[in-house]
Amino acid sequence: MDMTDSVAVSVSALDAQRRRLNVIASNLANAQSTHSPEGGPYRRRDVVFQSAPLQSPFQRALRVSSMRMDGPNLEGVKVARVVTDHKPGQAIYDPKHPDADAKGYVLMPNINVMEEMVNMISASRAYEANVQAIGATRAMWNHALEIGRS
Amino acid sequence: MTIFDRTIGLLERAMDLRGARQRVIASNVANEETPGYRAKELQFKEALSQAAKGTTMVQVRSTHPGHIVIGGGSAQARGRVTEVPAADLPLDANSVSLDTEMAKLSDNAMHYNTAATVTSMRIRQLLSAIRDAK
Repeated sequence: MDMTDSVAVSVSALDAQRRRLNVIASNLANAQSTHSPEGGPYRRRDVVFQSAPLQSPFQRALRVSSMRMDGPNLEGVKVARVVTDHKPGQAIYDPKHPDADAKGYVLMPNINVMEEMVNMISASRAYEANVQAIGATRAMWNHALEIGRS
Repeated sequence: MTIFDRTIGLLERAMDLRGARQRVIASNVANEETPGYRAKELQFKEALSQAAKGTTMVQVRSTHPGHIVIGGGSAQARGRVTEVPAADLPLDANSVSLDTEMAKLSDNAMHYNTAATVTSMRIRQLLSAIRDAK
């Protein structure tokens, strides 16, 4: 029985949620960026999560035969890709702005700060849940180590 | 009569299965926001209680698939993985409920720790019996 696996699953989630937080931080930082390397205003980005098996088919078969169990296919999580949100941003009338068009409108990034804050809270809660899971596994380990100790 | 009676074997298997259950729950918590993921559940209650009821101390080895296993012991208790059916799926079709998983997580850890503590006590009993005989 290998409990490092359950920690590995939780760690994969910590990594994925941290990546998500990076993307959210980037969105918040660029909430006012009217310029981007691709041209036009900054566009909101979002991550797509995907469950990913942690074990190779061989490891799985080995576990099923040695553990006599209908091997639970362990699934961690990973960021499959980062997608760009193409919904249009707000156009603000500001003729003095260097990025203003002929009619005096400036195209702002398509970022809603409230939405990003909500996503940020969701990501940090998910992160905490996985930290808790690691803590519980560690407590189990400690108890197992106490066996036979007088 | 063996030194380690059935209790230790049963506790050992219970800890094995609890450990496996921990992995399944960790997997559910990790995939809390993965679109399309279905929560999984490892069930072994019946298997383990049946193993506990098997009263024969004699272990008969089966060397042929047709042989009948007598007193297979708790090591034969197997877990079964099921997917949690989701009655009303949210938009992204993910059936993980974080509060349920967190409750299951601490419940599972508690059971595991109990089994570990009882195993420890059992070994201490045996140790004191051995020491007193000297």
